[in-house]
Formats: sequence, structure tokens, C-alpha cells
Amino acid sequence: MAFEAIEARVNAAAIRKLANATATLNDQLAIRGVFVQSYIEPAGGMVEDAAPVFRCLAADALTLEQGDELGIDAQTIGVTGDYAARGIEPDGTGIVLVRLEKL
Amino acid sequence: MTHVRQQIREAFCTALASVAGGRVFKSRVYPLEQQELPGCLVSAASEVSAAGSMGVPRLMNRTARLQVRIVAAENADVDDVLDSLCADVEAALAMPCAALAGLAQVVTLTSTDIRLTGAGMRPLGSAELTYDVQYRTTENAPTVAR
Repeated sequence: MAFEAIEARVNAAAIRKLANATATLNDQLAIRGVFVQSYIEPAGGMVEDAAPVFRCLAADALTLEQGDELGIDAQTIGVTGDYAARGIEPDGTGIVLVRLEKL
Repeated sequence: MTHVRQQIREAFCTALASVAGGRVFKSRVYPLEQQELPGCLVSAASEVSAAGSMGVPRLMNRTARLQVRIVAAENADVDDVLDSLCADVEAALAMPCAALAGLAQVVTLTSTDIRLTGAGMRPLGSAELTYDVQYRTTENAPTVAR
């Protein structure tokens, strides 16, 4: 099996097993992925905040553009709500990280 | 009695009491929570002083540098929110400022530093207004403004 095929299978398995959220793109396309919001202190440490991101298969997010709305449903970690895609960062191996803004 | 610098810091907070919905914090070292935004932080950054008379005790001419930091988060136009709050701060601290009467001789806004970031849940901005506050004490009585 070619390496790229193995890579694609591993990525698909990883997202399938580790996904904790469904992102609904513009009320239409449902994408499974991993939602994380790590604690950060932006503005020179003056504010408690979080940096929400969503990781999914790049193949599932081909139409995603900056500004698109994503309805995040991650009930297992107590997160539901609407977000906007503010950064789309493919890692070059088939996974894309989407930086989110809470709407 | 407290140092005049402390009295000035407290007077700043008094003058700014209605800014940012009253969310004004003096010398706060811990980060603001989201529900405390927009917020306004007041602190003293530094001071320079020089003797203003001969003989003892000497009169000390002092310039305290105070910082008023405004922090706000908005999905759109956070810079407009910051500028609006800056206007409130500048108006509240403009001379003559009742809260500073008898403490400071001159209060001057010397710089405004604005920063924006998209690192958090919502776009976040801060505006740091730096004020030079001139006041006088005698060197043996730093708790009494002259």
C-alpha cells in the first residue's frame, strides 16, 4: 500500500475515533472533528480567554472559507454554539485546523 | 496618610468610576474574566522626581506616570469600542478634574497604544493611555501634596 493511502486511512481513523464534535457548515454540511478550546491570556496576559479550534479531515472541508459559519455541537465537553471560521490551516498531511471566533 | 502617588491613583479611579460600566480596577495583577469586559485598569508605572528648592526639607517636583488600560472584546469593530472608551477616559481626566483637585498640578495624556488580537474567542483589543501627572511634596512628607 502506498504511503499516502496509509496516511489517509490513519487520518480518517484518527478523526473517526477522536472526534468530539460535529461542525455544521452554513447550516448544511456536517463535518466530524475534534473541537478544542485551550486556555490563553491574550493582550499581554490581561484577559482570561480561550482559543477555539476545530480539526477535521481536509477532504471534508474543501469548501470551507474564512468567514463561514460553523455550528459546533460538542455536547460531550459542554460546548454548543455558532462560530465563524477565522483561520484555515491545512497541515499538508490531510488534516486541517480551523481557528474559530465565537459569534 | 498614604503616599500622594497612591492618592492620585485612587483619584484616577474615582474620576473614571463611570467608565466601562464601572468596571474599573486599581493595580490589578490578575487577568480580567470575560464578564468583566470591557474593563479599565489603572496602575502607576513609574515616577521621576527632582529637588525644587534649596535648604531642608526640600520641595520635590514629581512626575508620576500612570497607565489606564482599556480592554474590550467585540465581534465587530473592537477598535471603535476602544476609541469610544478612550474618549470617556480622556474626558473624565481632563483638567480641571475634580477628583485630582489639590493633588495634581498638571495631568497630561502623553501616549495611547492600541493593540488588537484575534487569538481568543472574540476579537480583543486594548488601549493603553499613559498620563504624566505632575505634583509636589516636600521630601520629608510624601503624603501631603503641595
